[in-house]
Parts: sequence; structure tokens; C-alpha cells
Amino acid sequence: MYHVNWGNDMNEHRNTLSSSSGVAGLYSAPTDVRMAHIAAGLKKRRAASRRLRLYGIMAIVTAIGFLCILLTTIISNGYTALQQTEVAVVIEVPAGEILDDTGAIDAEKSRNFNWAGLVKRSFRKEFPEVTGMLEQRSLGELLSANAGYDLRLQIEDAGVVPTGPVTYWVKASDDVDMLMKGRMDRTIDEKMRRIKDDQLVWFDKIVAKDNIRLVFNSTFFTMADSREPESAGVLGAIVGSALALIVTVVLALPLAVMAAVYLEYFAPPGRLTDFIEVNVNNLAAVPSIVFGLLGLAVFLGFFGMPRSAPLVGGMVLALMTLPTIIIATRASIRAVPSSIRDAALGLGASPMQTALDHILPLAAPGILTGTIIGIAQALGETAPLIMIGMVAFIVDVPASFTDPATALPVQIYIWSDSAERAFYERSSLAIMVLLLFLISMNLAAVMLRRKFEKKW
Amino acid sequence: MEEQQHISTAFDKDLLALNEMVQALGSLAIAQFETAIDALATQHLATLDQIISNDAKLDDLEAAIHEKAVEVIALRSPHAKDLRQVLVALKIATILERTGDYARNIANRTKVITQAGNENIPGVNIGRMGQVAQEMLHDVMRAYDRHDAELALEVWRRDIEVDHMHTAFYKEVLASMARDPNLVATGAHLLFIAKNIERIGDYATGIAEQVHFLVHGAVPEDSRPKADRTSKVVGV
Amino acid sequence: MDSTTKPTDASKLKPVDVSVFYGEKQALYDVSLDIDAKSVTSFIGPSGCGKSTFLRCFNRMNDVIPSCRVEGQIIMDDVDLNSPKIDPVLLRARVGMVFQKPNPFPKTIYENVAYGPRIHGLAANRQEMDFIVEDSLKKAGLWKEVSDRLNDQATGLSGGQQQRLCIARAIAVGPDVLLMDEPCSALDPIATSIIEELISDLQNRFTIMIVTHSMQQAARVSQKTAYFHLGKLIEYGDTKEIFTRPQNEQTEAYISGKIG
Repeated sequence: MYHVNWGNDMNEHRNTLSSSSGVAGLYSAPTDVRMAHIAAGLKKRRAASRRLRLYGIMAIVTAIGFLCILLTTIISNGYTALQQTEVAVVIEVPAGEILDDTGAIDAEKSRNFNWAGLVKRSFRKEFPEVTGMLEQRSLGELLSANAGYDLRLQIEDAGVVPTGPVTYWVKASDDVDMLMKGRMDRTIDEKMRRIKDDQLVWFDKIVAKDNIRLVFNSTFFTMADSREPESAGVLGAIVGSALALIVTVVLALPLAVMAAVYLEYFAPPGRLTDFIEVNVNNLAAVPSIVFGLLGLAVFLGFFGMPRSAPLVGGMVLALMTLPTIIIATRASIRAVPSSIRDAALGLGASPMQTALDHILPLAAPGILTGTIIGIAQALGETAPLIMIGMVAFIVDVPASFTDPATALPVQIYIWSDSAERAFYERSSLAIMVLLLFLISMNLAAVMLRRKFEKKW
Repeated sequence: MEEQQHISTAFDKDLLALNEMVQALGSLAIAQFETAIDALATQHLATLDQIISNDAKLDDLEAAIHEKAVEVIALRSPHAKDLRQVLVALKIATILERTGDYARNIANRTKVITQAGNENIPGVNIGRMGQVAQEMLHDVMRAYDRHDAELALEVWRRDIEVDHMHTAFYKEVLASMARDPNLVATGAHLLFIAKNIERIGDYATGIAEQVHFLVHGAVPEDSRPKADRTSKVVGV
Repeated sequence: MDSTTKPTDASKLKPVDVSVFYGEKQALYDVSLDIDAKSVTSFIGPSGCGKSTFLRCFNRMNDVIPSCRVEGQIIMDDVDLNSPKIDPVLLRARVGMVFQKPNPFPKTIYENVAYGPRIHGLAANRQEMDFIVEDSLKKAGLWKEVSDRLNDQATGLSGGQQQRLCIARAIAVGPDVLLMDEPCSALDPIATSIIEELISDLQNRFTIMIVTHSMQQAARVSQKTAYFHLGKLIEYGDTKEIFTRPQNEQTEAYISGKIG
């Protein structure tokens, strides 16, 4: 602390004041006294601001801490789903039963052929010591129930049937998958495990022979839902979400922009307009499940639209996003300086021309940002979509807006509910996919805003 | 004039108009004076009458300059040299108008002398004095037109000649009046006429001071050399 | 052009008993004037005296403010501009406006000037539009400075240039009357002088009404001046008379800087 001589120039002025109006205290004290008092109080003030900083830092650390815990949990649960266990089986495909006269694969024959049986039989050959139906069934459970279908797809994709025995890699069952990834506890009591002791023995044998491997789980990204976790993927859910969001944007954006323009420029001031404005703002806070109920009652019940369709899902989400976009649009329109509007009107442009030629183009970045944020919100909504039925078990990737579909967050919900451990890790991976989409959309919104921000 | 032009062309035009009006007044005043000095010798009555009646024109022109100067100040808010230009124009106009008045006075008195039939007093230098005063006016108005402070200062110093001539003339006339009492009336008028011419010389220096003020922003510092000793003449 | 000895033409605009209300509050009280054609008339007065409000009556910009109500008549060419039958959009093609803060559109210089003629359909093809743009920029004294960069953004110009661009934009529509609401208050003295000189040129073609809070500007630029105070017209007359011998005490007090 250093002492500064502030001088006493103000003293005379203050002394005259104090003598004429009788004001006592520090105000009329000489400068040195006042400055000493202020300096003394400075210590307390600095301590208070340090404390405040500390609280702020603690709050941020706590928030980031929770975020880290969340992300760590999800990632640690989900990253293993990126891999899928496959088992090597030597199979000889009987060409005669698959091919037609020309030597090409006959689709009919292929469809009717018992691929699953072929796989199982071939697999059993590796374990000649396994006899007895029960045991053999137990052995077969080590492979995926859809292994036969997988093999058929491999053969059909290749287009030829090789002669003689060939080693094929087929998917293991989800229990083996979990075992391989170390997610199954081998030490607990057999009755509490899904893998029985004999299966463990066989598993170890396969591992010892190196007939088992982990490959990238492309099924997750290319297939729709399935009963078997190893055959389940999010493609159906992603497409369903995408279709629903397209409907949302196509419906919500024009309606919201037009509503905002009307409210800003054309609505006559009065009770009715105030009423509308208040309600638009309130709608933004309504719980999303209420919109689901609305969709259920009106779209499905009254209009009889197809259940589980992305069309209906999109409409419900559009209603939900409408207030967000209206509010963002109004804020952007208001940010356009009124001088532009005056200039356009002064030249003889009609209010509509002014809005279309000048105001909206300048408000566009803000509108876009608001829309992206609204879409990002809608992407993560589960409750309203459940209400209108996009929660069914759908095995096909939806091809149109009226096909039954499901959405990504709903898929996550369905999977997280199931008993299989493998679905748990897959739902964590799906959450990571969803988070990735959300983060990239928000990033896009930030970048767009930065790029188009104009300084007036 | 070598100065830059104003962005407002109307402003330039106003100042130019003002300047031209003052020049016109100057020409008129000088012409009046010239004619009056000549008429002293010729004693031509018609000319004298014309001088007297022309004086109204000078009054009108001075009023117009006044009006214009007020207008320029009110509407253009001139500053610095522009402001000095307007103020100087006003001042010079007043001086020129009074010069014209003196010319008229000279004409009036000449008329009286002529009508009384008195002869001119011999050995009179008054024409010469009038000449010098006339030249001073010419030169100082030229200095004003060109914003030439050097020329103005030179005219300013020249007034001493007029003063000398006036003092000499004064003594001469007194001597003549003492010698011949019949010449007293004429002599008295002549004394006044000479005084008027001397005053006109002073006016020319006044204009010179204004030109100096216009160019440099201040009147000349040194005091002007004066040599009018007529107030000290006691006896013949 | 000498700003003082202009012969007064026939009156172009005749406001008659114009009053303006914002809700219940009255901002202008029964103003009547005769505005001369092809000359500059200035409105002066302290802040809040109603001069800008009055100016905006001439192109019905007050319509944009919801609570604003204009009573009285404004006669131009035997038509009352204030009548509800008049379409403001049409009116604004005849009465142009330049605002206090230069407000070019965030588009190119060419597009700024072309916008007005475009929406009114004044150019049949590209050549005609090019001509309109060039002519307007020339009349606004800006052509030499921007002729080689018509496709640059208008916001890259200096303040004074932007305001001249706004003037060019207004006159591109070919109005009879130009309204200027404190056009120089956001500009430095040199830019102001340039625009005042421009106004002197423009008055040969347009009837100009200018609101200004600078009395010196009104003195320099206008032939007639109207002094407003608290919504009333106090005095209206030749600029020269107002600034040398005003007839009203209040006018005298304002001009000499004795009141707000």
C-alpha cells in the first residue's frame, strides 16, 4: 500500500458546503482523512470479491465435475459396443441346394434353405465330444440366433458358393459377446449367470484355438432394431428421427417466421395481441408430454393418422418447436435497426416488401440459429413421441413418412429397459451418437451466428 | 485574391458582392472628391451642383453595404478572415461615405466662393494638397482590393505630407487675410476646405488601418507620424 | 445559388390546421403554412418542439407509429395528403425522405440506389436502371467518388458519402419533394458543408424541407424558416428576416440562444 498525496483542493469547496448546510461527517473531512478511510475499507472489499470469485469457481468446478462423471460413465459403458464378437466356423455349403442350373444363386432356394441348421451342424463338428440334445442346444447357444441369416447374406453378397469347407466368421451370441468383452462376471454362482459352466469350458476352448475375434460393429450403424442385441442397430431410429425432424422443420419454420412477422409488424396493438404474445411465450415452457397428448388426441384420434409415423411425430415436434422459433425470430427482427425499416418505407416500399426484402434477410442468421437450437431440442424429445406411438418394435428401416418408425431417444429408452446386458452397452453407444448429433448442431448454430453477425 | 474558395459557393458570392459594393462606393467617393478639387479651379457651377446632388447616391450605397454586411453575418456566421472582411467592409463604407460628405462640403463652399465672385487667393497650394489626398485614396482602395497590407502601410505614412501642406497653407491664408481684409470671407472658406482635405487624408489612413487589420488581424502598432501643427499656430 | 434573393414560386404544399396526437398527448397544435415550390424551407426549434413530427406528416411516416393520429389537411396539387383515400406507398414515391443517421441498406451501392426504382417499376431494363443510378448519383454529387466501385458494399463508405448515397437513393425515385430530417447531425463539419452545398444545387429541382437543430445551418441553407416551440408554429418568414429582425420575442430569444 502506498500513500498518495491527493491534495486538498476540494476541501475549501466542501468546507463552504458543510458550513452552509451543516453537513458533518466524512464528506466534509479533509482529503487525507477521507482517503485513509476509503483505503481502510478497501481490504474488506477485496476480500469480498475474492470470496465471490471462489464461489464462482467452485460452482463451475462442480458443474464440470458432474459433466465429466456423466460422460465418463456413458463412454465407459458404451465404447465396447463398437465391437462385435465373431466366431470362426468351418462350413461346407452344399452348392447343389443353393445354386440353380446356370450356377448362380437361386433366391428361392436360398430362402428356403436351412442356413441356421447348417451353421449349427458345422459348429458342432468342432466339438465332437458334445453329445446329447440338451448339451448340443447349449453349445448352439454360443452362436447368434441369426448366425444362419448372416451366413446367407455373406454367401448371397459374394454371389458364388465356394466348394469345399471354408472358414466363415459368424456373430457370437450376446452373452458370449459380453463374456468376451469382460463384462460378465465368471466368478459368481452359476445359477445367477447367463453363461453356464459347460458353455464357459467351450468358450475357453474357442479362445484357445483363436477362433474368436472382435471386429468393428458395423451392424450397429447399418441395421434397424432386432430382438437379438448382436443384430440390433440404430439406423432405423436415426432415419426415423431424421424423417420426423424434416417434417418438423418444414412445418415449424415457415409458420413460426410468418407468425413472428405478423406479431411484430401487422398485429394491431390491443388486448388480443397481448393475449397471443403471452400465450406464445408460455407455450415455450409447456411440458413436452402435453404436446404428446395433444398429438394422440387430435392427430391420431380425431384425424386418424397412422400411428408411429414420422409424419405425426414431426407434427407434434413442430408444435413444440414453434414457440422457440417464434421467440428467436422476433428477437432477430427486433435486432434489425429501425433505420433500415424507415429507409425502405420512406422509399415507398409496402410493409410486406420491407419485411421480405430487408428485414428477413438481415434477421436470417438469428432465425437460423433459433431454428437449429429448436431442432436440437426436438431431436432429444422422448415423451411426446412415446405418446403417439413411436415406441414400437420396428425392424425395418422406415422408407417413407408414413411407415412406422421410431426415434433415436425412444430407441435408447426401449433398449435401456431390456434385460440383456448387451442392450445396455448398446444404449450407451446410442446415447453417445445422440450427444454427438446434439453437440454438432449446437456448434453449427454458434458458428453460423459468428459468421453472419453484423456490426451495426 | 489568392485565398481558397468556400465549400459553399453562395458564401463566396456574398463576400464578392460585398467587396464589389465597397469598391463601387470607393470609386464614387473618389470621383466626387476629384471633381470637387477640379471645380475649385474651374468654379463651374453646374458641376458643383451635380456633386452636391450625387451625394445621395453614396448614402444609399452605404446603406446597402450595411444591409448586406448584416445579412452575411446573420446568415453565414463568418469567422477569422471572413469575419474581419465583413467588419472592415462596414467600417470602410462608413469612412467612404463621410469622405463623400466632405467632398460635398468642399463643393458647397466652392459654390459660395464662386457665387460671391471672389477671386481665388494667389499662391494657393490647395490643388496640390487635394492631389496628394486623391492619390492616397486611390492607392488605399487598391490596397483594399488586393489585401495588400504593405501598400496600405505606405499610404498610412504618406499622410504626413498632407499634414505638412495643410500647416503651410493655413499660415499662408492667415497671412493673406491679414494683408487684405477683403479676402477674409474667401479665406475662411478656404481654410475649411483645406481642413476637409486634410480630414480626407486622415480618412485614407483610417482605411489603411482597416486593410492592415483585415490582413494581419490587428491595426498597425506604431503610432502614426502626425505633423498637423495648425492647432498650434498663434499668430501670423 | 444565392440563398436570399430567390423569387418565390407558387406554393407547393399547404398544411392547414395540422395537429398531431400521440394517444391522448397533443404534439402539434393547428399548424398552417405555405411551402414554396423549388426552394428550401427549414424548421427550427428546441428539442421536442414537434418539428420532426411535422416533417413526417408530409410523407405519412407517422402512420407507422401505432398511437399516432394526424388531423388537419395537407394540400399538394389540390389533393389532401392526409386523407385516408391516399395510399402512403404512392405518396412516398412523390415525397422522398432522408434521415438523421445515414441508413444505407447493407447491399451494394448500385443496389441501394436501384431499390426504389425497382419496386416502383421505373426501369424497363438494365440499361435504363444503369442510367437512373448514374444520374441520381451525379445529382447527389457522389458519382465521381463511386463510379468505379458500384458493386462495393455501401457500408464501406464514409459517413458523408453514405448520406449522399441516401440522398441519391431518395431522388432516384423521382420525387417532387424532399424531406430531410436533421441530415447532417451525424456528420463532421466538412461533410456537412458538402451536403449543404448539395442542397443548394438540389433546390432547383426539388421542393426541400429540412429539419435542423442548428440555426446556423438553417440560416445558410434555406430561403424560408419556420420556428416551432412546444408544438406551436411561432413564426414563419424569409430566413433573412427571421435571422436579422424576427418579429416575435420568442423567436428572437431562441435565435440569440436565450432559451433552450
